[in-house]
Amino acid sequence: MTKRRMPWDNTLPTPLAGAAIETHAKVSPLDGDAFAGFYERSARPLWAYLARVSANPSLADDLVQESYLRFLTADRLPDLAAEGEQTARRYLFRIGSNLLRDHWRRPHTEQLDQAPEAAFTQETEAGASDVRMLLGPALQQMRPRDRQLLWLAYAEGYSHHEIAQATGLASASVRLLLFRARRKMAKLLGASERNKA
Amino acid sequence: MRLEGCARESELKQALESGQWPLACTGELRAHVEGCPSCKEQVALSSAFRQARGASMAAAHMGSPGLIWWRAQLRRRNQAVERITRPLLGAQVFALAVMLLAALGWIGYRLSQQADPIGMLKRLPEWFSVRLATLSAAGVADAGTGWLLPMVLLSAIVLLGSVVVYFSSDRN
Repeated sequence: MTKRRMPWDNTLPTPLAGAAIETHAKVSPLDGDAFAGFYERSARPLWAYLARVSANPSLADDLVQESYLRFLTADRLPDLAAEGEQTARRYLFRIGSNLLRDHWRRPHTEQLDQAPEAAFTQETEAGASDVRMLLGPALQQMRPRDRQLLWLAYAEGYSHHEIAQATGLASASVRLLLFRARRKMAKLLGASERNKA
Repeated sequence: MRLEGCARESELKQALESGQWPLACTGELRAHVEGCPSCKEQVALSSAFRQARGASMAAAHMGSPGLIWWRAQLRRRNQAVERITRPLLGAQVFALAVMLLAALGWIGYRLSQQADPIGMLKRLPEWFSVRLATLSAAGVADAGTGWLLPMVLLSAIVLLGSVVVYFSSDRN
């Protein structure tokens, strides 16, 4: 089957648009159109995850771009047709999680478990609509790691095994950490409800 | 601490993910959730997180997939070029190391031939200026056996220069 490429391939300078691109087309199971479709379906959930966990929409913008770049330049890119889009999406979330972890590991930034709660109290564009609702105030009091686990489990509907793959934690650890996070979140939600009432 | 939740949580999770909860679910499941704290907790969390997900997704500002695709192609090409030129750089560094080792060996040999190596080291600048004067006055061919060290130094400079050129042009 002949693979069609996106028209923007033509915008590459001539020396770049030659052999290297052809090589990529042979290696990659994704062509430009397939990628555009996959991007449209997966970019928003990925952005939501990264923005919510980092509480930093600008950082999420950068991380989303970098996640897709790494996804496309990976040695073994998941085949959307053969392996299914969910596999590719989980792989993308894993890249995003790793980038987030790298960001937190840098010396000039906060550590994952030491980020101040105040960093998550700012009302972002993404959170503006639901921060007034029940979840916002409760989320502000959770640690980033707990937010990460809760988001993957309850917003994305991932299983423990899939969360473990995305975060690099052991499945048993995910189970325990998620259990604790869920308890804490439920208490906070209950308290928010009572306060609201 | 008991980590096991309710036995019907997976059934409830499926209903939540497929959008069947609550209207398309059986009355029996709804009644169970009403009386089960664990399932109730799951429903509350899932609903809240899915609402938050929807709000965040609506607020997301996405870049062009074409631009990302294009940048990925460029990055892939750069990675390929880097992979190809890596052995070349290795060879250059190896050659430089061999030349430097040869120069050091030669200097060591010359020092071992001297009765006063420390004194020779102190006289080294003077020795260099004499050699350079000899070279400039009589040419390399007439400089006798003293041509070796300047040639080694010159070779080292040339090799080092090639490495510097590599880093400044290809890498950038």
